[in-house]
Amino acid sequence: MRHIELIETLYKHREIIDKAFRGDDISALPKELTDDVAIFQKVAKNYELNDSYIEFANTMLKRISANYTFGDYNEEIKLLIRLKEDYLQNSNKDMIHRMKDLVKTLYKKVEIRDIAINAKVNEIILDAASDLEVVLKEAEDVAKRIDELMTANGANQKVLCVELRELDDEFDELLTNISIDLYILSENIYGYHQRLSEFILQTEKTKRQNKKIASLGNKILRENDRELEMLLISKPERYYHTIENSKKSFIKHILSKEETDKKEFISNLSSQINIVPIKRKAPENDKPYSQNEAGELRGINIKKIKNDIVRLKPDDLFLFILKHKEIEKFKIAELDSIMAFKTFMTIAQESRDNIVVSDNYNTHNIKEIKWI
Amino acid sequence: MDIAKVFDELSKGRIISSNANKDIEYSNLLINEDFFNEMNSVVDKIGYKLIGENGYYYLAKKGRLTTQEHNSFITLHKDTILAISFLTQLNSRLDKKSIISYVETIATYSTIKANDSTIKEKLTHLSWMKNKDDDRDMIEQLFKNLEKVGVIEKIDSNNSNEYKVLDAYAYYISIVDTLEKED
Repeated sequence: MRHIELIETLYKHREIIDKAFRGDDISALPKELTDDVAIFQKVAKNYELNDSYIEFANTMLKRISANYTFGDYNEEIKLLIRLKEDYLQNSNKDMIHRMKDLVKTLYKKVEIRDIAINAKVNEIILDAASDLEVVLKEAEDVAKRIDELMTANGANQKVLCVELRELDDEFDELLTNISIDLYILSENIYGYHQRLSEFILQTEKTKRQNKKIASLGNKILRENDRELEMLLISKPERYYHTIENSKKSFIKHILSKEETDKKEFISNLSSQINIVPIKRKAPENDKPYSQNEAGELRGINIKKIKNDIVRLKPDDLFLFILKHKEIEKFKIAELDSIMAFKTFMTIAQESRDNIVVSDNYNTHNIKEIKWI
Repeated sequence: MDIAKVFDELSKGRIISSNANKDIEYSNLLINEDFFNEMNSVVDKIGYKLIGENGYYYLAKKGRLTTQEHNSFITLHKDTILAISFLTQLNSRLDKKSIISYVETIATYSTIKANDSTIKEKLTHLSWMKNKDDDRDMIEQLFKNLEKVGVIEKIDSNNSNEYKVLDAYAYYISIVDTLEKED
């Protein structure tokens, strides 16, 4: 069967495929959906959609299936290292082709994983129907997995940015381009982790609050609520008061009986007090939302570094950034190289038209990039 | 006469929430700092204090409460907190801005009651209840009274099933937080 025929088959049977995708039981199927293309699988007496089809549909729809697992792709990285070793032994160019294909596949998988993580985080945060304990457990599990992926990403990036270099010029160029894109995806993961952490904190707060509400509710039920009564009557000026219930006792010394009609009361109240017209002004905080300008990366003033780069046009962008005052402040904590690399990637990615990649590598095994 | 209009509403004995559709006219006035200060100085002259925090507004009395005020004040707070406790037992995700369904509340209540008969005590203990044998009627009364005190509001006047939890919910939670310590 050709691809176009597959699309036609999917379209022809769209109703039944959609029913199965939405979770309905399917007991009978046209033969071509089981024999010609394996879109369905027989499970017990019913037919279910093939996992590969569900995964494909979810990816295209930017959703996530319940049993999707976020891979760390360690196996692909190990294979890349093995292929590199083979290439170093026999200089077989086929190894380079295989590595190129594998790096591209790896990037595609990481990009799909990024979509899936984003979908999963949104699904958890927007789920208002499930029980709090269930959602909290799921959020904690996903946060833990993202934590592991963040660590794995660091190791994988080191392989792609450093260990696979200097084998082949074209492969190096591919690695540079892919590393920049992977860096953006790994920054996304930090963002997802942060959103999830905030959600977990808020949900845990709600859980603690529910316990407190239940506790006070039970005290009221058992009439063991003297503390609540004392709190309310000790500070009447702090708590909500119902004027309506006490209107007579409150106003009888101010207004006569015929004036206790509500309209009269308001008009009398207004006439008693000198009310000056209100000056209207827009609420100060009611400003349109504006996105923060790029320029800060975890305490680094990238804008300042970029200004210096534009002014001084360094021959080796990475070395220039590494020695910049904004980065040197991380030297004590031995984070200067990593911060310099992140800054280098950010600036290189933002300014592709202003850089020229040389064939040479600097002492840090990073290609010399000249600013023009 | 904007101040008179807002006073008329607050003097009905309820809390105005910023996220309540029916209160939008009042909360738009109260959010203005000049208006709020002006209104506060007006009610101050007649023995009240205008309080605005966490998206809700209400009047508090500066002086001592009469016996009648005291009793209704305490009962209203106990009923409302108990009703909130009932709803959070059914819906652990309840918070201000949540949407709650009358039909789902009845369904979840029936499921929980099958295993935990004490949940019904929360309903029958409320002073709002007339017919304590009819669960549906009691839940209907609970929704009506929470709507009356400004804790919930119908999301649409034609939809008697779905209600939005208003900012006033946080007022009662602040009392719970003051009294109950965390483990």
